[in-house]
Amino acid sequence: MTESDHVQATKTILIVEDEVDLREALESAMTVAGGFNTLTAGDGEVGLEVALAEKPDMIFLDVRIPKLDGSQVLEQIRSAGDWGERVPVSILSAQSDLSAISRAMEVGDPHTNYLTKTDWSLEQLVTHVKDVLRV
Amino acid sequence: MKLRISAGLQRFLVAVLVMIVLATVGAGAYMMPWSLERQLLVVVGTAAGLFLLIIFKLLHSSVPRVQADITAGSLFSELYENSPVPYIRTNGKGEIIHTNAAGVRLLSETRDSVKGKALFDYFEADEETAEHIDRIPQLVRAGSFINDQEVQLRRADGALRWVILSAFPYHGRRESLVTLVDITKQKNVENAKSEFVSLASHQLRTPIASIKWNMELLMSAHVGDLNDKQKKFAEKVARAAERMNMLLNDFLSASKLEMGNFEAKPETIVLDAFVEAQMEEFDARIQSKNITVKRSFTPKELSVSVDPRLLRMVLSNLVSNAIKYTPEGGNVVISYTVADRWVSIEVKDTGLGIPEADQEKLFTKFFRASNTKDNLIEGTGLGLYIVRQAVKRMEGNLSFGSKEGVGTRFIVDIPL
Repeated sequence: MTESDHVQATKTILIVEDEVDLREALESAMTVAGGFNTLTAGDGEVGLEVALAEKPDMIFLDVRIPKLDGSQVLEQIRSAGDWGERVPVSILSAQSDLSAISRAMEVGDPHTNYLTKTDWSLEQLVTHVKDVLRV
Repeated sequence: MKLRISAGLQRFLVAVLVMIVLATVGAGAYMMPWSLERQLLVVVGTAAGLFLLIIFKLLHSSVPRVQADITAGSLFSELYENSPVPYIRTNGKGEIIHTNAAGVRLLSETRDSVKGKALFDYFEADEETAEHIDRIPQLVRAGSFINDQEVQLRRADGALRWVILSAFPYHGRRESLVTLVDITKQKNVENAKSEFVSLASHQLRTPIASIKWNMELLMSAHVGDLNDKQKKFAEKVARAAERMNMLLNDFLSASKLEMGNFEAKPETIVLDAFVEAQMEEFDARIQSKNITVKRSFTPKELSVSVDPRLLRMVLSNLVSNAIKYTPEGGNVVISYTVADRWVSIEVKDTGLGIPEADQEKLFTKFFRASNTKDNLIEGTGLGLYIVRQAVKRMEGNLSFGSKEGVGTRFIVDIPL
């Protein structure tokens, strides 16, 4: 293992996604192709709980998820102190034009990215994570 | 002020005048010896009589017109009163002076209760509509014309209604006539449609993403190699999923643009940076086809106020077409220039070109040029339709020139 591989392996990514097929595919790509540690959650409530407890290095967040929706989870993460303000969050949405998303974009949060699920391949998502985490 | 005399009174007055003149002439002729004065009196009297007769004739002929005007006046007020379109007369402050029956019904008021109320107090603004609704009172107060503004009203009974508001000033701009056409039913249908589109997009995108991602995993080396046959089939599935995604994106863009409630929301963007960001999406395709992309941006760092969603639709479709229809090793030029408060964006390729016979139908929904089918180039036939609709929404102009076998250029002019 080289030094940079070692650094990558220590990074942890939380995936909050209610669709099992998507969650598992993303998890597989992040661990196998990306070499990251992963945590997963199937709804907003668990997602927020895991996020606050584990403070991952990055979060993939679906918008339409049960219990708490993506924008509510993001809002609570962003108000959770130093880590919450700065943790990179990539919103993975099935919709390209959610009004909630455009409102958040207007606020101009530099640590939040908005990706449309179908427009990104897993390979591109791995590259995206490496860019965001600068590894 | 105009003096109004009824037709009957006019006729009576003329008759009296004719009688006075005739009596004067008669009396003069009888009393005076046959002298120059007597002749003069007869001549003057006759002339005056003739003059009055002419006046009488003129007035008489105008009598039916006056009557017609009166009939038309009552006809128009009847039309105003019973029109199915709500009419509201307001003073310069926007306070209601009078409404017709339909207006009273729309606002769920009575004729007395509505009088003196401020029309703008019925307006209901939400975040999205606040800006244009706030402008309407100013326009009415300034005595301006207003054409077809969508406004939401809260009636006296609390119910909400969507209306199309138009207004024009009269009485030297001291008053305005406002018409409100109820479009609540159409609006509800529209909302249901847009809700359906958004739901469908979510419902369809999830399985498409699942097919795409899981096929990718299946084809990746991490799960073991597929044999050549398996690989071929897997690639077909992946391509089909990609095509489905493309169709879905185009359908969504087209339906978004067709939706009545789509409003352009201009933002200030830096044009060359914006174009570059859009180009990133095509990096892989540009490299794989070995296409040279030249850029020419003058002036650099140009600020443009435009809805980024619309400009993105325009650029990504034009650039995607340019790359798609340009053979390997060809050139694509993307440029902009500024002239007379307009920015002119051009996307030029050395591609297949559009056959002349097809050029007329180029922007029609689902239209594909005949030579694209021969060359088996994938496409939905929605791209240029979307471009034209988006350019229209930006209040810009779209033009093109093309020669089969040489290339195509599209020019989008947007007001600065």
